[in-house]
Amino acid sequence: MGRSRHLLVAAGLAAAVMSTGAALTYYEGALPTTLNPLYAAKMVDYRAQELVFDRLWYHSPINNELESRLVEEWKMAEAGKAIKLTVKSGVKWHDGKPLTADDICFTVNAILDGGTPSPIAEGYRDILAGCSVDGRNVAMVRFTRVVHNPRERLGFAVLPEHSFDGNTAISPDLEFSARPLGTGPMKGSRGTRGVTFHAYPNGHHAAQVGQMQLQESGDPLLAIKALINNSVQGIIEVAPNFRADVSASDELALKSYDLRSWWFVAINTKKTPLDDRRVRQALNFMLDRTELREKSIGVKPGERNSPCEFISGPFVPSSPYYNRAVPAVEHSDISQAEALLKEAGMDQVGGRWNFRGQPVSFRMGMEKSLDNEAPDILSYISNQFEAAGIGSQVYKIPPDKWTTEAITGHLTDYDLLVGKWSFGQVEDVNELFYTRSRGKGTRNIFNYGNSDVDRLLAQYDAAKTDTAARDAYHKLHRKLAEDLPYLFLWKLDTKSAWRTEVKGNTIAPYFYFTQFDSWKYDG
Amino acid sequence: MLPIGGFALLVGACGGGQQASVEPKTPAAGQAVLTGELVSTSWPVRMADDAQRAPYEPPGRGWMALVMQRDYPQALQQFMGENPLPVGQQRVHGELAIAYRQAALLAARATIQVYDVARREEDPDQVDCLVGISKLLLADDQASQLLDACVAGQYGGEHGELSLQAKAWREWQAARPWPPAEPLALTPGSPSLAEPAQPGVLPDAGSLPHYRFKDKVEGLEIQAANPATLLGLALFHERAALATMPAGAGALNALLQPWRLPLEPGSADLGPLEEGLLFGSTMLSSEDASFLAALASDQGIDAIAAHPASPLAIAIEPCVDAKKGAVDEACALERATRCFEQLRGAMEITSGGEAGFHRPFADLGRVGIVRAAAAAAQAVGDERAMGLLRLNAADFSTGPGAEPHYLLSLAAWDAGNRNSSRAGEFLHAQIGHLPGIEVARFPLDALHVRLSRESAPGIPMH
Repeated sequence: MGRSRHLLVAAGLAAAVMSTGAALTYYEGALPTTLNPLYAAKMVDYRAQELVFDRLWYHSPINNELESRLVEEWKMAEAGKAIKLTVKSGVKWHDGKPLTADDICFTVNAILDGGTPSPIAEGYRDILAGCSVDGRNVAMVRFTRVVHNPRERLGFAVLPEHSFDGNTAISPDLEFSARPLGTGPMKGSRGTRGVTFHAYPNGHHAAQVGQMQLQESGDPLLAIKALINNSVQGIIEVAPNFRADVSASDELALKSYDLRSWWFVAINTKKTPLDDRRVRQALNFMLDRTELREKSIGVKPGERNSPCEFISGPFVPSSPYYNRAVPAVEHSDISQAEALLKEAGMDQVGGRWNFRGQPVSFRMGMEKSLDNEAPDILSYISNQFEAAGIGSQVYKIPPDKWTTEAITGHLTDYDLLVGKWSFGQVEDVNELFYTRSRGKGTRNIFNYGNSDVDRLLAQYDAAKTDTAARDAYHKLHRKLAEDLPYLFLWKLDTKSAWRTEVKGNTIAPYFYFTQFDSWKYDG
Repeated sequence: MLPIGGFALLVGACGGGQQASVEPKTPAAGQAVLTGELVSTSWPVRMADDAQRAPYEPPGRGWMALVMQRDYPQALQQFMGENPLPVGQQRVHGELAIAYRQAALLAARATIQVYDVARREEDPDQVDCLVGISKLLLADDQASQLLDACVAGQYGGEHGELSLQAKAWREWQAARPWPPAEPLALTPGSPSLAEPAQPGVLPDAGSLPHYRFKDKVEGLEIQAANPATLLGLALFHERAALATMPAGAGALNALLQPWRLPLEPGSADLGPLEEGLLFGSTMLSSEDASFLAALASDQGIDAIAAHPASPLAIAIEPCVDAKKGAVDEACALERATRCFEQLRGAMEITSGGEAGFHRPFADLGRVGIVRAAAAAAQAVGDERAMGLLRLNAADFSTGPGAEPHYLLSLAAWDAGNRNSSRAGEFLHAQIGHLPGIEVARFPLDALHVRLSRESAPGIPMH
């Protein structure tokens, strides 16, 4: 079927299945797992939570200034180990109760409570020491040490004490995760088919969009046609393949979304024969990333300013942590792959690789929503392995299962998992590669463990200077490029598309809806 | 017979998409932003005429590489080829002169942010020299004090004679001759001002890093580069541009004026742009160059009233309230879109039908208006509107709109705002295309690492 015919059919289908309404509707690749900010695991979680909650301090997406909607004034105290905050008056929770200093301290105490099994809280426990209230509106937040730029460290969303009856051990599966109380511009409620947001007028917020719906997008072609037909008004992540279609329309605008994202194939290093580094290296040489990128993302060879750039390690190439001395593998090198597999004890029979007399075949998975950004990527990878003599079975994994099982290291029946990680200002990859133990390695997909890697991660953690931190990550990059717990694929820019009736829609780096009060919808 | 070449063959490229094109919307009467005459004399509409566009069409002539790909090295090579085209050479060298100035601004601001605003105990004393030079480029009064400290530090030898450079800059401050030949002669990687600048050449920044310092806590190596090298490269390209067309000094000044560094003197010798300097730019007419130059000068926002024939000035005028010091960004965006529609409609009439190059050419007019509105917001001190308009301009800066010098100017703005992530992306996109631009990466990388280590904790998300 020709492309234009394909689009027409898709348009008809989109019109049939989508409904229009006064509310502004936008598509995400998947629904949020939770609206509880302590348990965000996906970017969609963060984005939805940004509508419902206020972070104590945030950066203006316009000029990057550090601002707070909740704090009236602040000053340093206790010889630089504490910060005294005066809470703004007139800020209400979505049930009408006022925000007080108690809520600030409750949030700090919840973060510090060992009964709150939150990886996000875990990150703060190194810095936060406690909090005390001094009257209704004054809170003293204490740090474990004197820190530079203390306000920069206080980027957590503030939670309502009364929603938890003062119990600071917060569980991820409370009702609060679906119907939270925040102080943000919108009151949110998560259902099985989406999230509904309603504007909540407040002393510090005045959203101009009355209602908004977050829906799961499904097929990217249908999603684009729904946008063109005005059945939805925005798509958070538009696949590169479809960006030209958006640009060609006078009714749509492509918007940059600053997010540092890179793609990978995680390898189950606990399973034979993938526990042999030579086999992992062979797989690395089997992948023709140039072909993959062209077929799945639509990047033509030699294209300038491509949204997709190959990587050799766990950082985006523009990052200072990226070790530019480690080259990325751009094309397949089957002869190198064959030599490595033979060294690892494999032999080829009838074009198929055998190990210990059995044909080699891998179970490959991918989080389903990634297909929206890189269509058919899983099949293309599988085809390349097949062409090189490695069998595979491919599965698309529902987003919830990815969050609850893949990230937590429980999808061990898989051999390979295709995924994507996203970062903001902080590009800390320690949780991905630390050996899982004592609260470390919480996002180590296949429970990879390597003492040299652990040592480098510890060096990064303990670095006293910026140079030491960067040096540690450069060494880590090189080590991971050799040991290959992941096949590193590429970084991919993120672009959103919104209808032009949506105005004032400044998109904040990483958090997206930080400036939502300025959004308008003339639909 | 007209040559059949690049622009005529564009089919929905660079924003044209793969689907059937949409009929252009012509604004209703009363909605028009520009008069019919201004629209018809704008370069996009004139270039919709095949005969007018013919000189720019031959494949491999340089214009496709310059306008559609913004590929300076390839464009320059083609403009230098068998049939050299001086105006093309001047255009590329002129834009490179702007790009390197913006890179210098980026490097200077990043250096100040990391080694002055966020100075830490680990930073070696030699960074005073780089901060001093950076502040000098920004015409900051504190530069002298830091340069004096650098002179007193007697940093020489492996540190590239930093103290000698600082001394030369201090001596230069007494009379401020332009260009600053003496200090730049001591700056590593800076092309010599004593020798002619050869058109067609793309010098790099010498061996990088320029400096290898030791941090004061652990003695680890800190790599650094000299921001003034980028000024040296900018001046090389300015001289090369002038060498291609000595009679075009006024036009070159008009192009460069809005982009000069705070340290630089302006020029009163501003001339009109010939077609080759205008074609494929974000200015719609030569009057726009004059307007933008005046807007960036002491004339400031009064430049709007003083340029009644500038399409950009006319487009943004209703959105500017000089008395209140405010620019209505929504108004500017709306008018930019209406102007885009006007241009497309007029181009279709001129061409006798729709053509693939109409949208990208009209898009350049749209982004030009948004950028001019941002410059007006800067002139009246409306920082918020300036920021919002710059963000919108960045969104429009795709395909032909992705002018390296403008993207580098956004990176410089971001660096001053400590937004090292986005600045890093903008800069990274130019590395490999603009030799020596990596100089700016050293302080920007240092800033990014520092900011990321002093941020709220973050974990990988999927």
